[in-house]
Amino acid sequence: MVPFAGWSLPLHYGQGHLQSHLHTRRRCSLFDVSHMLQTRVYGRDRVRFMESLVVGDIAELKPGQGTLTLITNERGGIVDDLIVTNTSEDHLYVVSNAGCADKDLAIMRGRAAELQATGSDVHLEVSDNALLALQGPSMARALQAGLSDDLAKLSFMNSITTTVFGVPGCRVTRCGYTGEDGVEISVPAGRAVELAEQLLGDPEVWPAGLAARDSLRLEAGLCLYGNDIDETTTPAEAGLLWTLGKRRRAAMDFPGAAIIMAQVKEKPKRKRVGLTSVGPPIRPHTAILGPEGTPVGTVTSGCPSPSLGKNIAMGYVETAHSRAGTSLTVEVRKKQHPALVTKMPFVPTQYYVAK
Amino acid sequence: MAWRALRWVGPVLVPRCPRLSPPPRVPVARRLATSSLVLSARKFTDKHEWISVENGIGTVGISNFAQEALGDVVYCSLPEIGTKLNKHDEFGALESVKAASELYSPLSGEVTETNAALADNPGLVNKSCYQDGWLIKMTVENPAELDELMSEDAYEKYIKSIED
Repeated sequence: MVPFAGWSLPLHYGQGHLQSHLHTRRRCSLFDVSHMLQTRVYGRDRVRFMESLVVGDIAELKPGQGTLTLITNERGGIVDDLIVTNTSEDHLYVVSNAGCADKDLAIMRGRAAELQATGSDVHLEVSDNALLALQGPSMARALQAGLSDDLAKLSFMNSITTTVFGVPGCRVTRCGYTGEDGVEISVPAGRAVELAEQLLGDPEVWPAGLAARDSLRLEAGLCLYGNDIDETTTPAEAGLLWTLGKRRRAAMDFPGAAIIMAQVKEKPKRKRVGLTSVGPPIRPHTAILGPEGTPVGTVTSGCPSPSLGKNIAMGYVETAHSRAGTSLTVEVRKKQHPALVTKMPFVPTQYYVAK
Repeated sequence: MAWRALRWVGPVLVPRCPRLSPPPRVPVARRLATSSLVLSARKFTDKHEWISVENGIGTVGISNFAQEALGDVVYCSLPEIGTKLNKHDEFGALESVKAASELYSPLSGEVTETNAALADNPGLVNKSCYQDGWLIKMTVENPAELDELMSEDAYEKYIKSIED
């Protein structure tokens, strides 16, 4: 067990990190991610409220559709990355990072109060549901056994409310943090253990902890807030410009838009890249050196990849050195080792799209 | 000696292999007798390295407690032969997927050999931490330093104290 954002979470269960990681890629793992903040946004002006905080086009989301988006600050920095779903009911469903829960809530409550003061209709409800992530190629088979809805019709980043293994009122969203096909199930807390036990009753579903979650997301090229992105990195530097809605870019009506849109035109000074190497693993804070041996950047996440059998990492480098295929050097325990700028994801993602 | 590597170290660590259960306790006298047939008595550091000295050369590895805590070792960074070490000097690192764990020299001396088998099979550190998963061999510059290390019994008490 390790402390994480005020919670105590298991690094791994009985199988160990390596086996748990590989099992998620081959079969399926269940992660308890109840530490994440789940918020519902109600009211006629909920879309306007959300768009005043994030860079995404929330208005264009179809009923049941969600998106990864970013809360930005006036300097163009990333305050949090989060998933906003336009439910087919009467609210937006927001899942944000546990480590950002306090500041996100303060920002959301502050903006809601401002809008309410000018007569807008918006209000927040923090959910006390548990959140279970079921991830891996066996997910669809394992979950379908307890579901009357047809999972084949539920595409990546879409969400339904349904009964799962006899537990009513569950929100099932096809998304995750592993690069695999998967879902996150928001379940009333009182019946979360019962649902988890049902899912773990399938012999192919193993419980997995924080350690596998981290190495899986890194193979999938996904950012860890606080490591790979934070309030000092911008969407342009982080390679997350795809989260900017087209309409939002034109209107430049999100926090930090002037700075972020200037970086879209002129290119940022540094960029987040993937790195691969052999030899000693590359860990966060490792220095990245250019061809002349001068520092050109720093690693923000890194580990030996269980799926690939080589080292993977991400970090920020000067834009001139950010092209895939560029040979750089990393310094591990005072020795220099070659590293190659590599396109991400390192392991191909398996997100499901309904035909 | 195989039972040593499989010994369950306590409730803090989740057993990596659920079928393992604590083996019957073997009387201390018998354990020491078994060890001395193969190697001189193993001595331990508070950083969880062990060393056993034979004919003036020490063999160094990590304890079962340490390998359990570290998890699957996927890379071993070991020093070059001829490296001179002072007691407590960092001499390398063992890497799991999650983290690197630095290694510290139990004694002063010079590295005479490193375990070449670990390059292709770093998991030997987990499978056989007291035998095939040894890390380095070194000269013993100052034999008196051995007396500053813990005996196996003292080390077991030390582990219990840090677990509580």
